[in-house]
Amino acid sequence: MSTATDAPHSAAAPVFELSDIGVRFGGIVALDGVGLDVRPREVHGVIGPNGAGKTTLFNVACGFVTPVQGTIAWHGKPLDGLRPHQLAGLGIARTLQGLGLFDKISVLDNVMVGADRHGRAGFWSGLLALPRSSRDERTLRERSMTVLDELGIADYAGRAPASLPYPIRKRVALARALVAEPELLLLDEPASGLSEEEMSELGDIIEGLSERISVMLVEHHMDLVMRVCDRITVLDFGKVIAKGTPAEVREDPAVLAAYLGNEVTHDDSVHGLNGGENA
Amino acid sequence: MRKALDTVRGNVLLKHSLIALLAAALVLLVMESVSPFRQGQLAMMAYYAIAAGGLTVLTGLSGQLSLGHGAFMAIGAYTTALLLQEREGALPMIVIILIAALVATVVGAIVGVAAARLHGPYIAGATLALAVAVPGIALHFSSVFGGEQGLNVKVPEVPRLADDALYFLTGTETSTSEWVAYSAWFLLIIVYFLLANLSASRIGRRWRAVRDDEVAASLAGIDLGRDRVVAFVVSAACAGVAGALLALASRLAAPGSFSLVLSLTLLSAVVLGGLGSLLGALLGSGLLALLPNLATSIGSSMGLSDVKAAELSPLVIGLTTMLVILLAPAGVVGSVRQLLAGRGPRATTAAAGTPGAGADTPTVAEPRG
Repeated sequence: MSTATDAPHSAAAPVFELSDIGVRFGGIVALDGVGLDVRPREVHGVIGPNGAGKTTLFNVACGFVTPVQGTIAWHGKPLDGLRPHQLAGLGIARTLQGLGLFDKISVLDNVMVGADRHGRAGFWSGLLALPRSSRDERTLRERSMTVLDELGIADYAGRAPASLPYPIRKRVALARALVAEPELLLLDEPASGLSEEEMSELGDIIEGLSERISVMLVEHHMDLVMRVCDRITVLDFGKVIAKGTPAEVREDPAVLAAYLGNEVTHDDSVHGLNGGENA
Repeated sequence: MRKALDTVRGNVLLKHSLIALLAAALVLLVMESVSPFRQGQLAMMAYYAIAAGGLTVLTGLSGQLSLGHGAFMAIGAYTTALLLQEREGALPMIVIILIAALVATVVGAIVGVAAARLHGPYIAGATLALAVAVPGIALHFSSVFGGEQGLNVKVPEVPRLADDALYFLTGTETSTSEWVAYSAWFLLIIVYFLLANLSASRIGRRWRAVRDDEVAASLAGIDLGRDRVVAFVVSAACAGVAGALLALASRLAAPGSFSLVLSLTLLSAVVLGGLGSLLGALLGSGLLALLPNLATSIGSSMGLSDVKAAELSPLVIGLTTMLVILLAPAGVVGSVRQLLAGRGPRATTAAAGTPGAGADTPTVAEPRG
């Protein structure tokens, strides 16, 4: 551990902790003894060359992949045996690379699905349209409109997601995750497919979020990672090769070697890694 | 005026109650102005529509395809028949229908739990097996269920209160078949009222989410299994009510009424009208209840023998379904809504400032209620 002792988050106990995670697909070792912890109001980046195991680690954190070894803990309690939907109830929200928007319902309804954990009305109030149910609907709608407004996409509330441009759809997915008011947000490649300007706006959004919640960011755009992360875990071939603040990681010889070793195929990333010094 | 309209639109209970009241008045008007033969056809349309409404929730909203809803109707019908073997001392009709719904609900819960673990074509396969098995059970235990002949249903007398009320409203005496037709339609209104409420609530939205993307839905915290089972139970209950009414209207519960064709017919009704829309299910059921007769009478007027003319109706139903799927895959209601959404000037801008109106903006062509 090379965590700087003067980092603002070092004293706090971790919110979310993955320790000694091992995942195998057939004979292939996808993750081997990977550990990381996310502290309160920390943005924790996970980077690494393609095939390093970032997405597998994300899927483990989401509950989609069950590791063959290791533990996942939430506020110090193990999360073993919980199904993916139960994590939302604890305050863990996730966005996927594939967006996964509900295409046949409006943007507002998409976000209201995310807000559902704040609903109180049950089956019978819904069946009989009791006041409890309409109160619920009103609350969920207001919460959802607030988040859409914060992300600057309130104008699209009534639209079908499929009719919107990709960057807007990404924001809808983010709104759906945020409206649950999670304590921890897991973001998988949130910057993919965004322009420079949109990525910079995303950076502002993530920085704004880190005042309230913890974020685990799996991303390969170095500019963004170097700008918003408090700490970074670097993976290569399924192992952690470095951990630390952006400054520490940038100087780490193992990290440079991992990226330079892939120079031909990962030209962008190397460029980003160096360019990050200016950011 | 506009403000009043907005209030009605924003309040689910008020809106659905108003529609239900209007529908009830319309039912009274139509019932009194048609012949007893047409009343029988209308009763048929009503129980088809109740089952199709349940299937709309299951297939159109929660995304589970059932090829076996005829089986739940059979369960409702046989329950009713077993409770109505004697006219003396029989339970009130509404209680019998509720018991039929309850039995179908219990079976639906069991099948639903199994179905929730399956996907797409496998659910279809499992429910198909159910559609084949249930009439088979009736044949096997012929001492209880009457075998091939089935069980006769002794329809109870019209209750005094209902008789008086209908006499007060219409000025005519009510026969038992008329009473069954009325009951079918009033139950249809109640069932659709409840289903429309569910569709407009959190549960309806979760069903749509599960249908559109399972993975994203579970990430958003939706318990896929639980919501799917609830949808299955709701639709099985509807089919149970429909089966009870079928038994009452035809005064018979026999295996022949619950062939695979019935299950497929229900599915056609749902697709014809527009998947996911209750109004569509109602229209589709109307088509399927009235088409066979129309086809037969056209057939005989063209000089076909009665038998040949009767054989026309499956052909007409099949062709109609194929035409709708080819030309208007969103069904009747879906296509009309798409047309309106495409043409309407209020398509995009209304939603932003007024969250109240936002939920119902027409840009999302998905039918509600």
